[in-house]
Amino acid sequence: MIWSLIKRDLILAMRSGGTWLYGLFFFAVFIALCAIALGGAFNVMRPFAPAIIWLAVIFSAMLSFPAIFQSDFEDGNLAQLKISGQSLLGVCTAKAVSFATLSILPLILAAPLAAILFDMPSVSIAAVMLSIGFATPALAIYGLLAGAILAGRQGGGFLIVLITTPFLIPILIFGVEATQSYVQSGLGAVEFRVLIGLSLISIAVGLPAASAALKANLE
Amino acid sequence: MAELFSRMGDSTPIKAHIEISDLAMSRGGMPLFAGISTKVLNGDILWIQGDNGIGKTTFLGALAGLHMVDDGKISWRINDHPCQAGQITAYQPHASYAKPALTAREDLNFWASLYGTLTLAETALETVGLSTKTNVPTRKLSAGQRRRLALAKLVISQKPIWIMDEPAAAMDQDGLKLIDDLVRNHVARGGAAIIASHSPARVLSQATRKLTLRATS
Repeated sequence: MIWSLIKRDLILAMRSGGTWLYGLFFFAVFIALCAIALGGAFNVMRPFAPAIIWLAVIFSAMLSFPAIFQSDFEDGNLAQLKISGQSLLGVCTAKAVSFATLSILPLILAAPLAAILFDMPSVSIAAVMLSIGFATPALAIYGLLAGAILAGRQGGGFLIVLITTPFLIPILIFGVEATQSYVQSGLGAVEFRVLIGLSLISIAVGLPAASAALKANLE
Repeated sequence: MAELFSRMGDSTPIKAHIEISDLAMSRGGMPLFAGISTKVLNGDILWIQGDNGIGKTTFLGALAGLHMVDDGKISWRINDHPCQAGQITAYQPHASYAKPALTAREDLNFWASLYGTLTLAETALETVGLSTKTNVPTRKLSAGQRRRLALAKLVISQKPIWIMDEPAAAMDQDGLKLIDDLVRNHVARGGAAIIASHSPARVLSQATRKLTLRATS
């Protein structure tokens, strides 16, 4: 059932007229504006590059969080999934996978282009992609949790930003640090282990919490 | 129709029943009705009637396990053992829940894959009269055609108790006959149906009853 739901969500995204790419457009615009604001000189921008790319990832993800459950909640599909006897934990897992695929994966693939804009060395480009990759489960699941808590509420978009910010701060800190320490220590850098740890905690705690929040909202 | 039900086997394998005792519900803090007690067993048809705003949809939602009740109790049972509502009920809400961007076939196949009844999906589409619309996105279907799709979902759920909210709305004469035939066949093989409707209750099985909701004064 998890695979059926992922497949359905991917098909719906492909037929949505490109709305799933808004996060990517936002990412590109944010990076471009930062480059303009910093004056465009490579030697000035280079030290800030990992932080700017990570900020762009966080903001872009926040922009996509409200949509995770919105349409399925409004048109009654979530209620039907619940009463069809499916586990909501499975529904949340499927939603996390499709969110990671549709909203985070494009950012990871676009990160090298952003890195070229800031003239980052190739080792740092790999570092940015790897650090976002390891943090993907945590990014997706904490967004999912906020989306599940606020499913069906008016004006939830703004609250989603407030709810997810505390969860995203450690990811931002260690994501930026991991990008910098990869150059010396490679994947063995302690920051990568922290990122993996954050992702594992989100799977162990965030997913069950999201399914509990969803269940409460469906009653 | 005959082919569809013969593919599903002679009788529903599950002995299911819903027992409602002294049920009271409200919506948005306003009390709707109170003191409802009844029982739905295999082979029953229960028509729910009542004026607009009396709480028919809220009542059906509660029977499907979607709402908390204010007072009283609803219990769902398989072979006299308590179970979850979703194990024995399938719910057709008033509004369509078809995904507008999916074709009728894709939408039905998604639910069929969850219910494990993919082999029934094509026959179900034919039976509800959508065989020429299988590749049409559901947003391009008419309201009546979307209701037919929802009927197909009820059938492929293979659940013993169907809960239907105004199934006749937006249906043509042919569609009304389709609903009656589906319900009659379903009940004949041991299923049950709870139907909210404004049209007069029709006797589709020997155990047909009517429940009229009245406002609490």
